[in-house]
Amino acid sequence: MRHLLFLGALLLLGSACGVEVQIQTDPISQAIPVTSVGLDTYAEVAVDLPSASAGDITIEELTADLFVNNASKASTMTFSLRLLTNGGQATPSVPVFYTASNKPSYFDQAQVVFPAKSYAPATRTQEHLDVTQLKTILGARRIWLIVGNTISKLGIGEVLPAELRLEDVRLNARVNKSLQSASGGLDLTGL
Amino acid sequence: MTGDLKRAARGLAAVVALSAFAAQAAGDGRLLAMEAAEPIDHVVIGLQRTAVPLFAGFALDTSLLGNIALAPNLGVRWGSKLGDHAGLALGVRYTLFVGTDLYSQFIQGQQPLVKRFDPSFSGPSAYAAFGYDLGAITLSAEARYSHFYYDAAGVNAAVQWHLSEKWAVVGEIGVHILGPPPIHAALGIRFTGDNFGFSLGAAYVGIDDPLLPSIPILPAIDLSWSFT
Repeated sequence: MRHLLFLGALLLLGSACGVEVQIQTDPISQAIPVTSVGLDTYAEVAVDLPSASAGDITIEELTADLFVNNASKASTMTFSLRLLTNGGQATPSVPVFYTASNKPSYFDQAQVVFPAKSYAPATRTQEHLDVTQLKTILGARRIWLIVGNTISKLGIGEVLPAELRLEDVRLNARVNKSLQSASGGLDLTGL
Repeated sequence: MTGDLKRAARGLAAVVALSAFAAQAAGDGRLLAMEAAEPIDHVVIGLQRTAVPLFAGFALDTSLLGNIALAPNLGVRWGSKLGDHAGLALGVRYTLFVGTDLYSQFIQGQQPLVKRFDPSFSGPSAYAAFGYDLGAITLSAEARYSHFYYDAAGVNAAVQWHLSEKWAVVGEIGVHILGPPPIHAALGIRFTGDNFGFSLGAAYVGIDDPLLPSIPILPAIDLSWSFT
């Protein structure tokens, strides 16, 4: 009944409304193990976007919140983040790992959303990224985050593999929808 | 005697003309989801169109459904027969939406994802409809334009197949030149009585947005009463 009422309201007005929708993806966490020093290591993670973000939308604001956890005891790690809007191999349940020496061909199409930055050992750092300029995310139902981790120098007493953990990654989007597709109902009103 | 016959013939002709006139003039000037190319000659209360005739084919009208949905609207409509077989209707309307706050609260209550719902529905609309009666069927064409939140325009055609004097099967088809959905389509029945008017059918509405339930088709309903 509530859905019927909702639809009824939109029937007459859907054609004429701007609707602002706030979307937040479920938090995901991902560890990126590094097995050799000096070699860029990547984890590719798939994120499915809520259906409300699809359709005829314009992005008002797109941000990401995450924690970078360098769980190693003594090694500084360099973290980077890229975003890919099509062609990734990973699925939401199965991440894909590769290194600089066996990157997939689509790697270069991914946009850098967070340039490489170093994190001291045994630190957990909160990061907030504004990626509103990423218009390519428009209409995508699944995106891929490619997380890079590099250890340029192993700390004293450190044993590989060492892990960088990306924790509670959330994408927040504020989008505007025109709801034009609901305008077909207007002919039924005599307006 | 000849004079009496002539008077009787004139009287009969007048009654026939009047009843034909009355039969044609009932209804609220709507097919299923399209304008009917007919004059509105009587006060009519209808869901899609409620109207008060003024003079020379002009009428003041309003969409009752629009008013119920907090979109008060007022239009001027002119309709006329063109000879024995053709009809023409032209209209303009202005709609003023007054339900912004109410709708915003309601929609936000229904959809937690929706943070701001800012309906802006006021604006003008205009239409022109032409119809031609071929006896068993009547063909109509309509062009319409509205400027509410964005521009919408379309051209539609309709076929009425008259099953009897009062019942007709109506089929409508058209294209939206501006604004979705790409096509206009409706099929149903229409009853035009001396007072009571009624139409029932199904119309393609193509509602397809992930935020809404997907609804390709909705019922097209109209009820009216003409004070003939």
